[in-house]
Amino acid sequence: MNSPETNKPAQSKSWLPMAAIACIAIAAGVFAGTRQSMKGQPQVSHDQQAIQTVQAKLESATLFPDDFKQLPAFSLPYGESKMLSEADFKGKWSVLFFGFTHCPDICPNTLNEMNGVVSQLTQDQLAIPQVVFITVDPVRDTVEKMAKYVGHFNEAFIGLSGDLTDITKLTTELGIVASYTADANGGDGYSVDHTASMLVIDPELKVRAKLNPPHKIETITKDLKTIMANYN
Amino acid sequence: MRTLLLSLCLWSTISLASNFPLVIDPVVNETPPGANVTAGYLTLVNETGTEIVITGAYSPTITKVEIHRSLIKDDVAKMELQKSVILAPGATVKFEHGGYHLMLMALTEPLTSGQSVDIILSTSVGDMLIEMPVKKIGMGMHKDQTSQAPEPQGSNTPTETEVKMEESHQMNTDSEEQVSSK
Repeated sequence: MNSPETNKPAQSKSWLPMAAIACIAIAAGVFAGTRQSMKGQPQVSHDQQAIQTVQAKLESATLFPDDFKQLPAFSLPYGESKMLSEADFKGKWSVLFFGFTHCPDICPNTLNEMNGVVSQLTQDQLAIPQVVFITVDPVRDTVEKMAKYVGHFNEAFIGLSGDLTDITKLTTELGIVASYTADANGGDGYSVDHTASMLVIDPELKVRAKLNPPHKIETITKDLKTIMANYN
Repeated sequence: MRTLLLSLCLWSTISLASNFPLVIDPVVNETPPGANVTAGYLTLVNETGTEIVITGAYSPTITKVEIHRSLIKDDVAKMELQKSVILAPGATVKFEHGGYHLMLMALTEPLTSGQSVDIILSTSVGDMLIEMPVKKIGMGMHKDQTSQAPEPQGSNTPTETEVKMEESHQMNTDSEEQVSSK
């Protein structure tokens, strides 16, 4: 007999937590909904807008977001027993690219084009970026060989070599590809496929832009001018 | 009689010579110090009515010469060995920076500008010897592959190289206008 009466309050109590759950659920749903609608609208941050403005002026280069990547810590040999580390990139613009001396076509022409870019910038009395060519074939490209090879195009250019492990660490961290293919004819040679674009590092070591192939002196010069002028 | 013989002779040489593609602007890049490979570039024009296939290259002075093609795919620079290059009738095929090129390999000594290298192209119509001048990188390029420095003396106009294999002077008198109109 007691049971219906005792049951009643018990029943009303039991939907209280249910209501609370429902409330939370609705609130969460509304919140998610607002987030969704915020996402749907083009929300462009100030930084993004700035990047888009500069990007529109570039002919071939592509800009990375501000917080994309920093040049990682490294230390590699060049020239006559000198070492280059990330600290040497501070306070100046740099162009970093990858290749090897057993490459007859693309690499020497790219170095030649970079020399053309530098002489163009010099003519226009602009800041000259530090040009660094890193071998993806350090086994064959010794430090000494790199110094002579790179110096042939421009004495100020830096040719980095070192241990394959150290080079691979740097290239991997920078997202640079190097893939080794043995001579198809069974010779003692091998070839290296590698990333063709060049990286532009800003004075605060940010990986700022990619100079995309095909590399042309005029295009690179124009794009470098735009990038350097907009991020100083 | 003598005139007839001479003209017959001339006629036969001309017809023989015209079996070969016309060679324009051959150049070999100077080797930067330390490099034991370099690239050779040229333009081949098939003025004949039949297909010509380039099947390989060699040299009396270079250990190994191969036909390669540079290509950039998904931002990766690659080099591919080419077993053959086909010149369709009337076609112009350029061996140029970023595309087909002759890869001169295992060089035992540096190649410096002013020198020349003999390269023999093996083709479906026979071997053809091409004397390729060595120039500074970027010097032998066409206008779009710019080089800041002025062209060396006398090379402002396209140099149409002697194809020594046959008496081919007739071929070499062709002007660039005629070539490009094809």
